[in-house]
Amino acid sequence: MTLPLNPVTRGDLRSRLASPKVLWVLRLYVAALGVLAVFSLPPEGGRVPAFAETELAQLFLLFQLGWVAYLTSALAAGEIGVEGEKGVLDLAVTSFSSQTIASGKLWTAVLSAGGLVLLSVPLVILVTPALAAAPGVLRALAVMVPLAAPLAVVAAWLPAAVPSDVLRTVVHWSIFLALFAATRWLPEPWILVNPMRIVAAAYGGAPAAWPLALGPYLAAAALGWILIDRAVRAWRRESRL
Amino acid sequence: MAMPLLFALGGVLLIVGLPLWFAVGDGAAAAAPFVTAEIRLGYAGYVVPDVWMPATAVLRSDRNLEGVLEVAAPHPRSSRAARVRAEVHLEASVPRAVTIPAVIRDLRAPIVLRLIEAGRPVAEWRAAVPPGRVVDAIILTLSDRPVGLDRLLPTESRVRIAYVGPDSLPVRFQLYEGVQAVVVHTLDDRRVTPTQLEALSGWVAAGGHLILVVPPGSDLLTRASLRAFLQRDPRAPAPPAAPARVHPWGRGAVTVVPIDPFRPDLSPEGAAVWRRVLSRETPAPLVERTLLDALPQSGGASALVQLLIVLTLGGYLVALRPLTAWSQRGRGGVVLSLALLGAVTAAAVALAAVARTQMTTLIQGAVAEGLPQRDLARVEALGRVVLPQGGTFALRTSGETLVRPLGEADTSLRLGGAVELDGRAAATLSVQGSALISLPVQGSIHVQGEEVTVEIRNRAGRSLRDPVVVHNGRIQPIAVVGAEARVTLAPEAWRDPPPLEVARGVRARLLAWTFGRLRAGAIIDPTIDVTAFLVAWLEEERGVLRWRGPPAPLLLVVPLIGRGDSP
Repeated sequence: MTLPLNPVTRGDLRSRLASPKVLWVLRLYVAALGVLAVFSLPPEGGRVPAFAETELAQLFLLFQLGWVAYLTSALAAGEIGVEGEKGVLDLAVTSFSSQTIASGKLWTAVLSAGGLVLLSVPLVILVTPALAAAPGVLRALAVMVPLAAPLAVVAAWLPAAVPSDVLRTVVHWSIFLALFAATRWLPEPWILVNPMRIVAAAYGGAPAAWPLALGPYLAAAALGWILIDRAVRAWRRESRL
Repeated sequence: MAMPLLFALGGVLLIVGLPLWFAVGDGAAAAAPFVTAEIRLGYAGYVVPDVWMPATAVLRSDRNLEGVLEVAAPHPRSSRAARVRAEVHLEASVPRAVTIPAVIRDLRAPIVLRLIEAGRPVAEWRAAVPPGRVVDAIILTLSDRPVGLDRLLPTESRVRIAYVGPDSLPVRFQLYEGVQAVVVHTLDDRRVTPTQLEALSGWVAAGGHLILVVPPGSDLLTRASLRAFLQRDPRAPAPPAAPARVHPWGRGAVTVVPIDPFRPDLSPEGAAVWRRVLSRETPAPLVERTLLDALPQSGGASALVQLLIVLTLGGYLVALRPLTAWSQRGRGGVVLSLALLGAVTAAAVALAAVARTQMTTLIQGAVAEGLPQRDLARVEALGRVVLPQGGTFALRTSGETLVRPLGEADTSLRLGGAVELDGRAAATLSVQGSALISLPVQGSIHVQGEEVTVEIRNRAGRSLRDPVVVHNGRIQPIAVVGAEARVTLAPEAWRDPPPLEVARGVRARLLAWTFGRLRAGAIIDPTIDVTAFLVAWLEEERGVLRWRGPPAPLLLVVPLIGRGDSP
């Protein structure tokens, strides 16, 4: 019995779960978060005045967001190559429709981000300050998926648009930095589109309008879907000529 | 294009639904105007910042009301506030004065008083300190002629005279913290309650100064409430205050002045006497904030729990291989993977719970300072609460204890109950608690050449552990002291106390800090013939800050009154 998944997604996930490289990536991810979790526990936090003023649980969540967003998009862009995983152009030669391919890459991104978030749950529990803070932590974890997945969908389209590995990596990192760093200089209230701001707002519950900031990310996911769909169609059109 | 449409729909739902969800439940309680209040801060409007001050509300309600009056004093550099709560019972149309201790730290922001009924605020008032009413200290004066004492204070002085009625005398000794002296010129015994007298007595015993104005013909000393203060033989102070008599009272003093300072024709000599009497300095407290620096910085989880957490994380890393492998084996494999993840999560939950219980710690240094010739001890406790961010911490307190935060923290003190600390601001919060406890332990020292004899009378019903005599900055342990003990100390057994720098652990550091304070002669009062101290641990836990963890050690410091010649 198999899970009713998009065939592209199923193939991607099977390749990733079987990959020794991905296993080491996951170990690195869990180890990095684990070290931070251990050192976030009081009383270490109270020893350093700067840390005492910082919400360490929030710091952990922001650190985790960086990992989830990068790993999801790097796997999609092929920056972390996975044996057997097919890119958009590899799939274009198959009989799958362009929409199935686009949807498959989208689901792969969503499930990969969700899986990374799920793997962090035992570690997040260690840094969750108290039961009262649990809703905020859950909101922050949940919001990481819609923040990381759109970036990964666009990243999945990059191999079709940028053939050069080096250039693709540059473009991928540029998008990543633009999203995480450049948005920090946006004026209020636009600064809220910064993913770290969104996670912090989801964790703290303020400003209450933070869900509005997810709009551009949903639009980015839709854009990524369209780009993949068009890239496959264009490639097939060109192949027929 | 079904997927983008689905996302667009989901986006609309998120955009519209989530803000609505977050907006629900923020309804603030509306104040009902059925209760009025007249608010008074400090004494006669004078306020000393950063010390306990009375905040009095005269409440009048249109109906019977049982609730809680809360005073919230904001912190100057943050949105945190220290709240003190007291229960109130109001009868319809009967005014009721409620006094709540508050530490006013931000002089620009108003104090907020809230009346809470059934957990819901029903009325709120704000009271600010008027300009020019912030002073360094206050001299409380009870007189039927409330004028004239001000001229005796130096012009540059930031000490002010507050003329008050007997009703305004505090019922807690801590509320005298900003008071330099209490001058009693006229007093109606019937208007002073035993609780007020007890608080006054406790404050004087702890170092306060009570001044009785007894000009010829005055019958003030016949007042029953004041006679108790004149038990010990008086001493004549040095000129020019010579006509005054000083009766030692614990660490404090009761000065009887036979000159009426309120007379318009006060002589220059009389004024000089009064200036001298009013300028008496309050003895420095034994326990001050340096104790906080001497305490260990943190508690923390035990090594075993830390090891278990690290081992669990290691096990989780190992479990990642089966977890990913099983996930490829269809639905059953996914269920197995989720079960494994659930097991690791459950272990993390258990470890986090144990660790947080251990790490939510109170590191407390508590010293009970025995007051000479009084069967009382002033307990001062400085504590550092280590708690997780966002967590709360509850300390139990006795009725007479007041606890305040020393830094930025949201605190809520229920008088006679508990203190709740909110850890939103920081992982480590410093608190201070003070109380007077009954402790009939007294001692004396007799020095004859090199021979030193100590007598201890312990009627507290609790044994003193590891007693040490501190004399001239050196220490000598003595045998366990019973109810009545007379110990001769060996001249060759005196040694220097251990320095604070090498002490480890709460007990050792508290002891080393105390020896350091006593060596500096910090609490020796010139009006009392104290040359030595007995330092011992009280067997029974009586620290004023208590919590569910292990009891805090309470160090007792008893002054030994000198008898005979000193070397």
